[in-house]
Amino acid sequence: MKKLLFMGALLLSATSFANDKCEEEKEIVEKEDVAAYCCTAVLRYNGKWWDEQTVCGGSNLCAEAKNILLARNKNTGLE
Amino acid sequence: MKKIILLLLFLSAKSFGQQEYAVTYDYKIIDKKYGNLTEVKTYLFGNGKYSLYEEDFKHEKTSESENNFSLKSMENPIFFKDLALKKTTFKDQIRMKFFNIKDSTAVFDWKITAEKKTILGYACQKATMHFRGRNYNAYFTDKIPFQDGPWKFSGLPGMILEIKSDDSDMSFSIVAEKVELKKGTSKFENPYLGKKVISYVAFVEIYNKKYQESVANNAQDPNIPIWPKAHQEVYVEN
Repeated sequence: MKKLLFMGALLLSATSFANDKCEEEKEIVEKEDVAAYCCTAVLRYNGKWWDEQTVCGGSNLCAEAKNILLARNKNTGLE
Repeated sequence: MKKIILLLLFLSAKSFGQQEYAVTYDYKIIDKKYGNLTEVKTYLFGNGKYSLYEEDFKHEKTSESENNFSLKSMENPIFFKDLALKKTTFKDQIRMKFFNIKDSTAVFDWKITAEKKTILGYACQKATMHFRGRNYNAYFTDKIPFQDGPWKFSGLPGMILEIKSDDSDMSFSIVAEKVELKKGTSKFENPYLGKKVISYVAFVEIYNKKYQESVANNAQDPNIPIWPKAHQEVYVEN
């Protein structure tokens, strides 16, 4: 009986570990997918963060992000 | 005879002037979140009573890529230190609104360690401290007997020739490249004298208001970014 209980507990914990591992892997893949289709352009002034823009999906993501940033900051008179 | 010696001493003191120092540093900022490196030369000039420190962002080198770029610097940041009063005055901006800010340099809680190394031929000793959200490791030399250093840093028994801070978000490194000591009669005038100056606390309060506005704006439109809570100093506490 003891052996049966021990086997049961072992099986349960192994299944739960496998599920956790699977969830973890899925999460990583999802993050990578998002990162692969997004680009964040960052604008700085004197070494400090000034503004940023993230664009996801489509083509020329970084160029698009940069254009949005420049348009938004065109009145700074610094370009 | 005594009078002649005294006269000679007086004349030599007058012709040689006071001891002055000029230290050139290499300043690197690494923004790990975006993988960006900014590198500038910085210059410290002083006489032990006053000093001026300039960060030459007009000639900055950055790891510009298609998604990392910089606005042209309108003017270099300049820090004026009154070493006796332990005060630094400098200029900073929030969205191009510029403020002259007075800060205390009496706030550094240095801990001097036994670790030593040589920088530019000067025997240096390590000191550490935590300042406004960051841990710093500095090397100073008592062979240059002025309690000064780059940026706001001072208060060690000698000149700071290297100071670094490194965490998961940002890395700051200021390392001396050249040291010049000479007798001189330079005037170190406070460029902010007679101008409106606010306290560092007041500046941080203004930044916090703007930060909260960015949070509210982001809630309305997720395309509007939330401002960072910190640069070299933490402005917004969690």
